[in-house]
Amino acid sequence: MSKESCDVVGRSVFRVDGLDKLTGKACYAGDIAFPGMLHLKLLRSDRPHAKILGIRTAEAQAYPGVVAVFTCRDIPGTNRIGRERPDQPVLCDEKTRFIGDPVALVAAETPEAAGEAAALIRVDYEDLPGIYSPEEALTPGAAKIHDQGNLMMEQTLLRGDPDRALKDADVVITNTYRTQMVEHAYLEPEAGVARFDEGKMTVWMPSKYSHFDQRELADAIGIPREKVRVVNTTIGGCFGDKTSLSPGYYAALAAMKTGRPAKMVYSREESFIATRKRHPFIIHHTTGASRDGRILAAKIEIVADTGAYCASGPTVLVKSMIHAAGPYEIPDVSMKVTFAYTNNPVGGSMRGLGVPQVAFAHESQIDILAKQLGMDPFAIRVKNGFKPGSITATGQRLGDSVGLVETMAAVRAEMARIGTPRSTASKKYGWGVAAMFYGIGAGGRSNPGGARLEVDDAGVFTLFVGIGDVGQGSSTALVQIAAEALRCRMEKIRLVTGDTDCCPDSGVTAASRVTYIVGRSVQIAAERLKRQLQEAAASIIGAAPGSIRLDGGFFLSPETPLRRVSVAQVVAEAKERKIPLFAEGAFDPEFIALDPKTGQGEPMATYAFATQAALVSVDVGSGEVEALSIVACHDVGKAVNPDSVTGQIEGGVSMGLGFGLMEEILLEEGRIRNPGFRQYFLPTALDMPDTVALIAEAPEATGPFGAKGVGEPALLPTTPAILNAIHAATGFRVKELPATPERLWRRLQERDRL
Amino acid sequence: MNWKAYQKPGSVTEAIALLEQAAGRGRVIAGGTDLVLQLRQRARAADLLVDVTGIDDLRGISEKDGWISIGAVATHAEVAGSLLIRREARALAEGCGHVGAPQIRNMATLMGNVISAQPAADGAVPLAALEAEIRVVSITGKRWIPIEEAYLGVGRSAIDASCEVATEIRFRKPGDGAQTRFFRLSKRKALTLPVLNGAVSILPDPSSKRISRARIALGPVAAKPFRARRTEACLESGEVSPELIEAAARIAAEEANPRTSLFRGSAPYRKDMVRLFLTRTIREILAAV
Amino acid sequence: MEEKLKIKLKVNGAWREVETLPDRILLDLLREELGLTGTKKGCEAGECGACTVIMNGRAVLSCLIPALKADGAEIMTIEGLAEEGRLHPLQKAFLEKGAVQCGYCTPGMLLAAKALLDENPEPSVEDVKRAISGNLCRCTGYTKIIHAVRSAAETLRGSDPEGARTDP
Repeated sequence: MSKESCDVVGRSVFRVDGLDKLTGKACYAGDIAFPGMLHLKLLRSDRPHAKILGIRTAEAQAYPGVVAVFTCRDIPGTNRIGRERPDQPVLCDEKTRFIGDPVALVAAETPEAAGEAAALIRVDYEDLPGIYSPEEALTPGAAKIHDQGNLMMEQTLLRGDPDRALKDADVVITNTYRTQMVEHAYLEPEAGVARFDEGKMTVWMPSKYSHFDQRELADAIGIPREKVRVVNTTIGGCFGDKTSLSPGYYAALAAMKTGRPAKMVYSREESFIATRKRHPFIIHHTTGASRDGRILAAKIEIVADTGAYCASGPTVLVKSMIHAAGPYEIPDVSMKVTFAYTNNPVGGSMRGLGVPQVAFAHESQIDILAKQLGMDPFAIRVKNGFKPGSITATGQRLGDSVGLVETMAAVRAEMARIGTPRSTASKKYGWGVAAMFYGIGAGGRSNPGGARLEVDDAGVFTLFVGIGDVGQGSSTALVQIAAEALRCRMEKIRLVTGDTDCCPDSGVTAASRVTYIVGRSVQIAAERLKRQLQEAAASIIGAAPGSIRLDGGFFLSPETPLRRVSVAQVVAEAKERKIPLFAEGAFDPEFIALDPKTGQGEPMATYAFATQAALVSVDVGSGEVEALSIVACHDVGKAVNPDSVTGQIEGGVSMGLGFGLMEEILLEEGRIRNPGFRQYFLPTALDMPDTVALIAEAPEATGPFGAKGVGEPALLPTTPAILNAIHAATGFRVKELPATPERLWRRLQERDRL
Repeated sequence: MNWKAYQKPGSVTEAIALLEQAAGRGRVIAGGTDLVLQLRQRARAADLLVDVTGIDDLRGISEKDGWISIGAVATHAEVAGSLLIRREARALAEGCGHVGAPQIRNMATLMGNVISAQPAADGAVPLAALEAEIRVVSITGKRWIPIEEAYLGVGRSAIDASCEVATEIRFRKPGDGAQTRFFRLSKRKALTLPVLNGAVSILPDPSSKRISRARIALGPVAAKPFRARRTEACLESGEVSPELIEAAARIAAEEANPRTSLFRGSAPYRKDMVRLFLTRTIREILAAV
Repeated sequence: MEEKLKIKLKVNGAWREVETLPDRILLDLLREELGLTGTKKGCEAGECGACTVIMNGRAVLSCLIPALKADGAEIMTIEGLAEEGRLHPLQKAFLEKGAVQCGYCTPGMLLAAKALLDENPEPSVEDVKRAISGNLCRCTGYTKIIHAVRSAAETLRGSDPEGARTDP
């Protein structure tokens, strides 16, 4: 890692894709149109659990404007998708397992015709018993949602002897926390367009992992992989979804079958009903501590509703287990995490991968502990919090890049500056604090990044990476990293992302891994190419290759200050000498897989840390909570683009606020009662507090210029900070999310009755 | 097709003629924010839409002889921003200012808020407390409908937009010394239907410690904006005191009788919120008079 | 066979004559008949603000407006905000302050902000929040957006002597 000061990394340069987005030129999949294009609409199951006895499509096929109606019989491929376990159909065959499971596909000349025709399809169902909770699912004799049973996965962790340690503890607190199902709710509904030309299928779609979607789509639909090209369009938000089964898959099916281009855009209601959700968790958390505030042991049991299909349930399970005890040194820990299938909407990856849920629990626990022991909420966290060299619940010794304590100090100082308004009879004010840690990357498995950098005759570099910017600023950050490594101006670098024909597989945009893993891959590629060009330049300039710098478009060396060559000249020389004009970089962080029984291992190579504090007002009559101020400090290793980092933090805070106070998918026997923005509440501008986002940097040696990540950490401490603030203000502890006014009101009523 | 024809007449007479021609398959459209959605979602059907927003006679907010008159195509934004309304009927300005979001308020009309006949209407609830009347013109003539009679049920207005044109809303100025206020409880601060809303109009008796006239409307606690008449009677029954206000608020919770609802909350909670918000609003008004 | 009708509307300063079906929605007309795909579809129910355009000087939701209602109207879409390739101060401010992430809410957000500044050249933070309260954003938390709108307001009032920075 370079210790020189950076020119580009560390500066809030403008987003490379900003101009197009600001002028309406950015192309999202829904904006694409081709002549002769078909419009598609899915008929989705309205049964939570049913066998399909027959599908009658004749009436739909006869509807004016309809070109074709497809069912599972029309799919030559596997008709199965799923990143971890391919158990989900593209079009249902034997049964449907949740309301929204796709059953048939209509292709028509207009979207209206496709919609009208879809309503004419008749499906003969035989209803099966519906299962709506993990408890029900795991009861012996329960109807089987999948042949192998309703237990999707279970894992355990054991370190030391927590039962013995709890016996020795001075204080033991046990609580049950419940979190709700929430929706990604990106502003861009899913969309995809496909063309099948001369045997090559091109699919345009917003994807957080083009290469995976390419492989999965090809296999599921039944097209040879090398004949499928996925091109990433501008992504209007992802937050963990926008991958795997999506409109592009159906567009490819229709294009393959009809030979015509095809397009599908989900309606907002469809986006709510059909796509993956954050897993609801029930967390039983026991914490034991000594009188002086040292946490001695934790026992944690988590039961989660994984919905109808596997999706990325296993990743969420493992990640939540790794983080469930919080950023604290606890010598004796046991955990059991159980994910069960139900006939509810499918649980998938959503920003934080299970950690927002467990952070709510572990930060409530330590807050309760602090209150019980009469300790300051910062003091107890500093006492137990991770420092460089600390050992985690999975037995991993942390490296140097551990900035937790610094984030606490920064937040504390800002809180003092803001102060606390005086409470009145009806309005109470209070501050709450929460801390978190978050491992960067998949967790206990290989997840390499990949980058390729080329230079052309004009001296223009082209950077190819597999992942597209989901809005978090990855494109800008990656170009900054490349420019910094090459020591050239950003304008000299073109970026091509997410095109499976020409971009390397960089892994998924998830788990906050892009800056760290893909950024490092970019840095490696750039340094390699720079060395190759230095070699070529050296032979022209006559100086040692290592002394040559690229500066202002020219290669020069302090050894020979009067001689300089342009990149174009160097490129020509390199061609002469057969020095490659491209370089690749791949970085796969080291890990040690978790032991299947004890959960011990080193699942991630680096971790991000953060503290947030929230000032709330609580109307003790109505239960309304208003977040007035939020202070957030995040250790990101190195902020490649500070505005992007603070922008992510501020956005994360809004998502954490929603998770804590107002977002909830309301389910009744598997049916979403609020599939839309009318009754599913994202915070509006008026709901947002003043947010102060601060950056701390504890450099990560293996990261590009020391960078780690911030995308998911951004929201993790917000929810518990707000909930802890509610307690500080009122004395009420809410253990079920969201903390709606009525839930708080009920706690008040209970207290008044006592 | 969601509708087959769209006309924009220049006068009320023309509008009615167009509706007659459509023989029940036409419908008046003003702002359209409710109607367009209903038509697209097939909750309603119409062949012809008669857009009345181009009719000059339907514009404007004015006062005359102690009455305030609001034209049928006045938007929520216009009502909320009207200095006249803010001065004379503050609850109505406040209510209109809470509808949806700025863009909705720019398009949706207060009259449309009444005709869509939703119990939680932020515009119509203050109108109920103001005892407003709606002027309706049809082929048979004109009539005034008291706002309380404008509702046949949830989503069903007594004004038949397939053959009648509502032209004006009017109400008597609450009077010198009177104060009105609007309150609202919702799960988020914009773009959200209320869990509870209400408007209170109080005219104190200057010579005693009594309230001459109390008018209270609540929503969404019934199929239409609910006049809490027993509560009004209680407030008018004696000298104002904390006990009187408390008693009135309890009566309100009782007579409003909200039920448990998936989106709005449980009955006990909603009842308590009626009590709480009315108590606070009445106190606020009394402090201001 | 449904008959098409002709309407005329002034879009981004230019009169456009369009043939369309009577039940066409303005959002679809802009995006398809006129090819102006900058205005976004987020929910088609008036609940997210992504489709915001300025019609006859007011911020409105194009997903709820019949195209025929817009006959004769003056409309600004995101494509009309920059003039002859020069960014509007709002666009410049959004770029400078990092107020754009995924960009999907951005066109609607910019037009809601423009409508605000056209009416109120000196908005407070509360004024800005209220003006954009009908525009959902899932990425930014609104913080930098509010900052950018106030910065643009300063520029338009002429009290920001620096104007826009240039790119590094």
